[in-house]
Amino acid sequence: MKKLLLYSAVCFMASVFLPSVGAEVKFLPLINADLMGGQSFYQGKTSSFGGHCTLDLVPALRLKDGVYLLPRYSGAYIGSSLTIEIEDEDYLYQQVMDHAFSLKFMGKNARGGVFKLSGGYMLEYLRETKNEKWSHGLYDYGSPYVEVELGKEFADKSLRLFSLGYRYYTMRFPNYESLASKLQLDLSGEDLMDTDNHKVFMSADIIIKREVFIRLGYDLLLSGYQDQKVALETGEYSNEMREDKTSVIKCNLGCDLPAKHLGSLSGGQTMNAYVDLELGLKIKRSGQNYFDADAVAFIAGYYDYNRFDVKPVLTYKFTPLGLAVSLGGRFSAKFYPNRPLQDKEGFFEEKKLRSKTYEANLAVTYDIGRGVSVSASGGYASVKSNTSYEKLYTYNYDSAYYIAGLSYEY
Amino acid sequence: MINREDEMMKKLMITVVVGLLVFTAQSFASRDELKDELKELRREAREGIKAERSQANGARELRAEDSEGGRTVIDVRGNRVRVEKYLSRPADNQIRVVVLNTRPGLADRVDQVNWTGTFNQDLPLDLRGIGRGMWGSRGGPRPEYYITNVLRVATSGDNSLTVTRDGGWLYTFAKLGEREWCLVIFNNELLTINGIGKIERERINYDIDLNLPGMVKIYYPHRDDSVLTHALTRIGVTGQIIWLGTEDALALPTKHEWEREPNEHHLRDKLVFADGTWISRDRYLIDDEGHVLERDADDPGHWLPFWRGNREIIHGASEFDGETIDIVITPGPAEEVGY
Repeated sequence: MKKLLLYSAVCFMASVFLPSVGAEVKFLPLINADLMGGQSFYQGKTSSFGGHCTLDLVPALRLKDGVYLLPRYSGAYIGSSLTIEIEDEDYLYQQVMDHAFSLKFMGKNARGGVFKLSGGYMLEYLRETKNEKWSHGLYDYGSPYVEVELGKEFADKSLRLFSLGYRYYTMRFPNYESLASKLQLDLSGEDLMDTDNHKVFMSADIIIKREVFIRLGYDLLLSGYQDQKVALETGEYSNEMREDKTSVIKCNLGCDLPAKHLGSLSGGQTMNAYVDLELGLKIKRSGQNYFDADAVAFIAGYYDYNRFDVKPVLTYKFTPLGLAVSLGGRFSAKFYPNRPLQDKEGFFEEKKLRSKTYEANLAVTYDIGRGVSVSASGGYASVKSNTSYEKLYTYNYDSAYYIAGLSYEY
Repeated sequence: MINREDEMMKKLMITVVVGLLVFTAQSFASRDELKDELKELRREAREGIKAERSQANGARELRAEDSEGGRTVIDVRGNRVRVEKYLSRPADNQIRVVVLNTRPGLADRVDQVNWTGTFNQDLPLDLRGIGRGMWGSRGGPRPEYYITNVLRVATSGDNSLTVTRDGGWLYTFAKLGEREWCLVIFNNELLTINGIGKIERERINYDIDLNLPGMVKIYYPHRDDSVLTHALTRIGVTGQIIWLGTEDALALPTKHEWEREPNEHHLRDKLVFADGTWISRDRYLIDDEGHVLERDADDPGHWLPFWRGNREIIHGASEFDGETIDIVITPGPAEEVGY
């Protein structure tokens, strides 16, 4: 009887009050899904045709004016070795599955103050060989994070938004541990890849003359390795754990091309064009050294590097046809200030290692209607380095890819 | 009999569901009216995805570091192999190199080789350049630091192969001014399988001061009792080796198979002893995907330097009961160090 009374009270309140609250609370679901397929080409080898699917679900809630709750699920599956954003000379895996869950609270007040608080968890599963099962991949990882961001919006000024934030995340590779630790040899550490990370970031959005948008950003990332000891000159390891510091300075320039510079189209079609230029400078300094047990050579600061990126993209949109064409590129120059070159036999030289990446890509999207679009894209990348020694890692290579399929947006 | 409580519960549940539907119906806004708001929310969602991608790139960089260090390769049988190498200094005149292999796809099987080299004198703190002369010189100056003793132990599970080499000294076989061609030769060598002696070499009648290499007595397991027995004697170090005749025919191996693939970097040798036991060794030069490197068909004698690929050495023996010790060593620039 008591249970019945409790149920009655709850249901009465729900049925009376929720509809009135619902008048202010709005449910704004967002859905993005891609179903694609493609192939990649690496050094003359062709991958098998594979699938590429992504799903983003955001059942956003507007709690009141300017206050939102954004739960999100993102998932992706890549079924072939597809070349996607080669950023750190890493060229990929046979099968990749990503999942990310997050919840973000976002609020703005009347004076333009912005507050965001979010937390989430990312998972990645990788299968590199035929006998590797899902969740048994060597490089599978889980990464929980929490982030807070404060910002200020300025109406009618060039500086439109300034924000400052902090993100804390860990990365844990549950299937990876050093072989030495498996044999109870206390040498370099056990969970060599696990890190705790603190990231401070800031950005400023500037609008010039309505058509030109600039975003300036700075990130500082401090990574502490839980169990990776620093290598010493003698080839042994200290009790000190590795710590890395990475700074990134970014500048995004976006500009609508004026109509007078675009050609005219017939049949009631209009064309808009947008140019985006991304510039970035990344500086990484690592506390880890490298001891080459074969050459018996010690190199301090082996993992340090400086990298400069330029990424222009030109996009044309044709309305009401619903066609968009994007032509993009990327140039990246990477320099290792402490890593000496090696000749083809592997002996170290005086000069330091450098590499350059040249990329070009083309994407075409056609809007079928009701949120569905067909898209196709392809790209080519060439990486060149001044080293002749590639026995451990390929520093010079060419690769290409194509991918096509359907996208849905709601 | 109908349970009145259940009936009431059902009606109340229906009320709740209707209430929620009313709430939901009012909550769904017209998407056309909220275009700008949706645009901002999409941008916010994209920022979140971008931040996650940046986090994921950190993981990619860690994997790239692992690959750059030659720590993950594929072996000749298609298994992924994790390779780790460590160097330590057990004594002032010693270096120990440990190479560990594990194959995650084979229940994390671990194969390892533990190589300890003792030198003719205490080693400097900076070991750079030591590797080039530790086994001798090919027309350069006489090495200041060279190997005098080696202990190499390769294991996989309960199986082991041990090679001991003692009494190393520099034998000079040619000299031209300051340039010297010399080689480290050992006075005693022993190979054991699971602790059982299989091959022994003993140098006699040598003189280090007079640079005389002497003769080498070779021991193999005897047919009847498997005890290492003097089977052969040879003279000569490099160039022409001369066999001085058989000492005990019942200790001579019954078969020596030696094969070299014509187009690939694959050497196989197998020695069958008089007592019926045997040892074998397959040596490969492979790339990171486990493909055996090709040899120049027009120059069949040419063998690429070991540092041009990953070395894979597969040791077999009758005592291993069908198992092997399978070691992949990612290359380095030093002269052959024998591990």
